[in-house]
Amino acid sequence: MIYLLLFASVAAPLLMLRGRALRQCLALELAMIVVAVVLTALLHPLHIDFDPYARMVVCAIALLSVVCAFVALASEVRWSANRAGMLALLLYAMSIPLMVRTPIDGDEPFYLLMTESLVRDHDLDLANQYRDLAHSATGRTDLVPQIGDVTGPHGERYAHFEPFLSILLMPGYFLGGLAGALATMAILGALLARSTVRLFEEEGIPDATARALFPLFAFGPPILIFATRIWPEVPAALCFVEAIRGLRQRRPSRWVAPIVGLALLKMRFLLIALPLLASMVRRKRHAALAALGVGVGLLIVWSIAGSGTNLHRIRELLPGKPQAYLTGFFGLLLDGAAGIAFQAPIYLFGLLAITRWRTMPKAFRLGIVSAVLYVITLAPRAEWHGGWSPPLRYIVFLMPVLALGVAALWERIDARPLMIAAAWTLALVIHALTFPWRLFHIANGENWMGEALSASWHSDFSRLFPSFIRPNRAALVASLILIVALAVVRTGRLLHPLLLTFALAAMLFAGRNPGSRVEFEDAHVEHRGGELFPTEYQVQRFLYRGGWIVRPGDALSFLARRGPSVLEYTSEGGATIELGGSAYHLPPTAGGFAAVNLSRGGRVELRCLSGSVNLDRMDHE
Amino acid sequence: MQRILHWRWLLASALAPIGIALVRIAAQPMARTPIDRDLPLVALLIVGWSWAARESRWARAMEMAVPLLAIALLVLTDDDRLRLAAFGLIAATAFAMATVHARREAAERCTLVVSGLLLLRWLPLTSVEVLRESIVLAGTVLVFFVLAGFGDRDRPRADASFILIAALAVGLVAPIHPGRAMLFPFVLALLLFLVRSSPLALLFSIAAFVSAASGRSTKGPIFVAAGIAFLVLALVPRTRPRLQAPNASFPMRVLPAAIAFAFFAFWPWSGLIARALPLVSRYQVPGDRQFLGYALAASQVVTIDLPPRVRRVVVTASGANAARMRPGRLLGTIEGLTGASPVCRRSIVIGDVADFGFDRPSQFFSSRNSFPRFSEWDLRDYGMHTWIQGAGRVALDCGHDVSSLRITAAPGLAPDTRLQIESIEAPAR
Repeated sequence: MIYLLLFASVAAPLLMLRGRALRQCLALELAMIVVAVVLTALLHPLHIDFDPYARMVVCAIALLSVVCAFVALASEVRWSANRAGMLALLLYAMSIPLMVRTPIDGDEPFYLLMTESLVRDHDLDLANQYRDLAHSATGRTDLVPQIGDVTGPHGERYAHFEPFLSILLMPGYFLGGLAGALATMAILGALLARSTVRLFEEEGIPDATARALFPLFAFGPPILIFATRIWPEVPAALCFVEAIRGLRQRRPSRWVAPIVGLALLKMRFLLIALPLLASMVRRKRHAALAALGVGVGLLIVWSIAGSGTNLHRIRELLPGKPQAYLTGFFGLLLDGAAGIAFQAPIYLFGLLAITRWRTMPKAFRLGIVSAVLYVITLAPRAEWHGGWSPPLRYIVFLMPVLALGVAALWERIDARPLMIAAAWTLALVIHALTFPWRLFHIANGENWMGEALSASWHSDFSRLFPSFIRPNRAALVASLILIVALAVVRTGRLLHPLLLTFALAAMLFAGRNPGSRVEFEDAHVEHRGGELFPTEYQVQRFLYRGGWIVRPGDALSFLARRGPSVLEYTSEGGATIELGGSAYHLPPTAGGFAAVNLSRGGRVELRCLSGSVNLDRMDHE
Repeated sequence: MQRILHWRWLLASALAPIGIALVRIAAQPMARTPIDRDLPLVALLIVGWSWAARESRWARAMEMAVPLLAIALLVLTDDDRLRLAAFGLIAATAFAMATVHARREAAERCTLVVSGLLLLRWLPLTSVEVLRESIVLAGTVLVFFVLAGFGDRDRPRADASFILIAALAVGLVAPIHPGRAMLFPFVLALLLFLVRSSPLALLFSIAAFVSAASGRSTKGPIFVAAGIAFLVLALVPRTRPRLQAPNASFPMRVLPAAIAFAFFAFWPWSGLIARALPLVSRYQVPGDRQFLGYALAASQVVTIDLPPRVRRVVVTASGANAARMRPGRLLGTIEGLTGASPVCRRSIVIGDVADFGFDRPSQFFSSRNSFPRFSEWDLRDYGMHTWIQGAGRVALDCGHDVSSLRITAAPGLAPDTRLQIESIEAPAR
């Protein structure tokens, strides 16, 4: 790790800087290393317990931030799209070892199993792979076929994932197993970084802006995360950008392959590919090309999955409930666990760019228009937040286009909100690289920030973060603020760091008081016995109402308000609980309510005296 | 425009402490250290630094330090030391940026000296001796003015960041006890003024560093600071074009910023930086200990049974009322016994250990002790009042198994002096 860091901290400036700027950057890096060594020497005697791994990650990010600052601000810079891509490749390669501290997760092992099967058996039948997981590069021996997987007539097991990503990973896997597959992803990520810089150039974004924004785009979430893990999102983003560039240049030879690739990576990307194709159909030849592209794509999917739409059904395109659209749409923007505002805040300025539609580059408008159908289809789905995946999974492809919007607005945005967004991005990167397993969340309505604060303060801070997975009042407030902000904000000058301090004070005051609702599975509840419902690794866990199952002897402790409340619970045989010193009998129910009354507010204890009950939540009346 | 700008800064300087104070009030039971309590002052100082660098685009980045302090207060609740270290790094980063980007005018530079010294010396506010600290502050500003050559028409104004660092170093180590020691910065300023145009400054610098290396360790910090001041005085005029911003070369601007960062990174324990930095190399990690708590008067003996198969014992001991004893003076002896017969023996002298509280700001300058050879860094208090307990680790290697340990206080100890045996480590082989 130290050698990698030292190599990157020397190689990155050599790659991007020259002359005085290079010397200055190296001098500053050297000074930082010396200071870091001095400070580290003092940590132990001072009995400051700072995890050495986190320390190393912080040092690495600090050093590379210096390089990025020089690239953004210095005058003697070797700047080109190719060099930007090479810098991205260097830093992605450095990030891979950090990302694989824990075994790959979510859909990743299944993509890798498919790659293994293609390389070793030359087929997509995973039955033998499941039987021999001990020899799989996934490092996971707990894999089982997933919902939606297809069983063949002779017991073959086919994953429901489109195989194109696995095909792309084959050479890398053949050469280096998991590391090779991840290196392939890093190369695709670097190509995305390169293409995005080229897109900026072609759309007239000044070099200075591109250099300033580039690190926030390429080395910030979600691109950094998905470029160092095995998901189809980064290749899709690459195809999307290349398709937009090809369409803008009116060169069919440039856009056909990316659009076909986009559709092959994931069937859902067809919803982007079709509007893209529609945008260029002006002649019969174009229409024929488009039809051919779509036809070839569908044929390939049909030949593999036995259905032209794979797992998807046409009815999924039919309109759902209006409320679901609002929840999904605002959730993608504002959700604490899965929304842009908290997981990739720099792209909030991209949303601002949408409100300046006419002044935006054509590629931005084309990209946004092409994504509208996709977003409309995604928003009402229960899994709009991505499920068991790193945040923003389903809209990663859109990030280069949003970045273009940010770039177009860059000069007009005040430095203060940019600083705040950049600082938050830095914190997210440090967190992601230090605790990569926390990128996966059980989608229970909390997020890692709320959980950490709740656990520290033993109070419900999660409710202060907007959640659209488990809609709360903060979500409503945040939505209203966003609407007003999009209408009012011009430069963001009023967003002063000192206001942030007052907001934090307000948050702390509010967070330390009991909320009107207690969700029993949340981090602020001290669990002494009992178990989470549904279990952490339940497939599509977000479809269930979460809760905490208690049996005799189990107890929960939490902050609650004084007075009458309603307890929501499920119990097969009924149960008796003691809450705040009073006993309550809970009759059997498959989902019922019980009125309770707390004689005093503050910390109360709930103890199960008999029976078993799944406690969902308690609402103060 | 300039006036409006100042109004903005006045507003910021009012809002930043209020905001941080609110966060601290909300975090009351968790934010329990005196440093947490004085955080509003730190916020005010940060606003002052960003004001000093207001013409730079980095001033806005420096303002971010205020909400970052609030975030550290909010997030790092479980570990006081980690939280204070975070405060240290945040403020140090802001100050280091200020040294590079602050305007090169007297008002801004002087602001940095005064605010830097307030951060390093005036916290915690509850235990600050205002009059004495004000005198030291005035002396430090005088040192800064002499180093910078203000009022000297023959010289251009020296505005290098090195001068700032040298002045802060002087201010940091200046003692306030005993009272006459407060004259140190004034005497130094006079000497600096007298040798300002002669090559004597370099000689004085060498002499100060030699004195620091060879003299009493409790006088070492002020000699080092004086040496730095003379060195800066000697070097700045000769290399002024290289050291002056904006013409200064980048490393010449980064180096003082890096030093400032290192200086300030541990300001929540600034007393440690001022008085006990040499102890860094003498730190030893303690093992499993048996705590004892004996205070032996002259000739008193204590015998401690040891577990079986022990050949090496580490005794952690200190002196009480021993601050005036010189290095090498005998405090007691340790003997390893097999049965009743001693098999190994060693003395405990000043130098192996020191007086329990010799590092306290009120005792340090007048103490004649030297730092213990090996220390466990038992850290007490915060800010300028941070001190390290003078206990030292004394190892006794016997070569044979010993069954007990006999510790005898030296017969020549003064009536009120004690040998304090705090703990022993006796790992079985």
